[in-house]
Amino acid sequence: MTTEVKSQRTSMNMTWLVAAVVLVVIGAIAWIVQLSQGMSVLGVGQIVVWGMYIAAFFTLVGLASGLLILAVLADLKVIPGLWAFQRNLLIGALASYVAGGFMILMDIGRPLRVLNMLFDAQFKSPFVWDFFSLALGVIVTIVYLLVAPKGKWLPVIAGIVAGLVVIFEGWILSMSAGSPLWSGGMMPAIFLVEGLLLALAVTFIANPEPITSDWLRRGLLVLLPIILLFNIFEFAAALYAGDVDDLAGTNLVLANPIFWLGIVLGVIVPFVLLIWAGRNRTIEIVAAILIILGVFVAKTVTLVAGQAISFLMGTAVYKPTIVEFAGVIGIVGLAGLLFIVGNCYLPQKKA
Amino acid sequence: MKYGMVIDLRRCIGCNACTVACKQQYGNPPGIFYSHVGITEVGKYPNARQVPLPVLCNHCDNPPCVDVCPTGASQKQSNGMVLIDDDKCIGCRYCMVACPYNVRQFIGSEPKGYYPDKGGLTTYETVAYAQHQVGTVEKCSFCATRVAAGQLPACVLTCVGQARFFGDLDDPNSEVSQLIVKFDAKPLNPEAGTKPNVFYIGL
Repeated sequence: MTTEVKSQRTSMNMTWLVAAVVLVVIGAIAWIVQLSQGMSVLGVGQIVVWGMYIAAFFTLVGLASGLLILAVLADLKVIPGLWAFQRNLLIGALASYVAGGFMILMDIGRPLRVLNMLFDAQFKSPFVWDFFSLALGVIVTIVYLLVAPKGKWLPVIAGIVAGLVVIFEGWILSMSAGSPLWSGGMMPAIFLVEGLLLALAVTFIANPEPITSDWLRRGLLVLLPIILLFNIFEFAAALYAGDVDDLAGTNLVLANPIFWLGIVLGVIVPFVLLIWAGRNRTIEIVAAILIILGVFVAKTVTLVAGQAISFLMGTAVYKPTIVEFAGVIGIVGLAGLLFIVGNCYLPQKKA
Repeated sequence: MKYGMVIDLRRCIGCNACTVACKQQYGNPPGIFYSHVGITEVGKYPNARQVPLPVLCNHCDNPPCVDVCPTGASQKQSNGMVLIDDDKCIGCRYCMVACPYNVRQFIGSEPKGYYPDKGGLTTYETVAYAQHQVGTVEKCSFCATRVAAGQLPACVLTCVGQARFFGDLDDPNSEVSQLIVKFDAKPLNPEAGTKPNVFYIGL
């Protein structure tokens, strides 16, 4: 019996491992194509300069920070039964942070010059705050993984760092003078809620104990209306105030069917499914996957719409290319691969 | 010393000679424009008309591109010019996102040239494109090297309608300062709060 269970686990891990490696290979090919032919193989241009890669970066880092916050809540025994999952949460956070970092490497024009961020860092830039908070997030997660904290200092620090990483990412957008759409001030709050939604959805898919699942479901049911409300606050303010530039970006978002598809399929449908589906595991997984995709779509649409209204040059169009899709798929695979490898080889905590 | 520019829209005929002179000066590849002429519409039908509006880097006093640059590649000089150090630029394009005027350009790939069906780059393109670093952001420098050599920026020199004026905004007796006062010249999009140093007469 024991042997059978063990062999099932091994074949499951091998399936996921092979799947992750395949995705990574797809992403690697995309990056090689991009490096050899330049960034003209991407859908970004001179007006919309941040596309799917940056949306995926925000999504992955949001997920990582959300998982780190959940690990802290597990440590503080806020969510019953989540403690058994804490190591997985931390490994997931680490894998997502690192994969998010790779996403940025793929997006910047001169990947090797990222070292300039170390030697010539300009601390006025929110990008630098994000870079260093992300590095700090990785370090704190590793320490948290390897050391069993005595007292609450490490969980508290980890929670603060995780929150800061997401808030800085929101500030990257909201502090940009170039886009009135992002500058409402809600962006960090939206990023924080989206990060928690992602983490709850991913953990929910991992199928913890029923009592933990109930808490995660409740968390999702609370956060889904909150994210909807935050978006309504943001857009309602723009529509009511009628600032010309802000209104242009807001109208662009609201006129985009993909945005509404994201709201319906990523927020409303999962909410209904989670309430009415009972304990049907398949429906629960579908709802959680829809939430993850919904967050990614919302980030992409908001990111693109904030840039698309150009100064005296009309509205720019952004269409992601197959290379971009492949690059994002590869990075998702990398996160999965790092999780699987980390789960196998990272040592257990030492007291 | 603070360099600035005044553009007299009453004299601008929208011929794009400035656009071409700039491209020629820097050998910019297809799709890369440090300076261009936008079109705005004024009035209402049946009295509506199009007005050409030349746009370039405003070399702002409060440049958001400089603030957000993670490596200090974008810098405000003591003479007012906002310049980019190619060697420091990592190509993150945050400056492009932050610029309210969309005047920064990204060199994303090896330039293809204007005549790809005639066997690659021309001799001029080969020489000119070597000055551009792939994966970096570029923009109007107010022709810093020309100005240092005592010359006018290429767009000012070539302007057919003599609509462009360049000089020291800190000097109240300079031509640009006098024009701003005399004709109540205004910057573009002042609500962005960047304190631009390109002013327009007749805006």
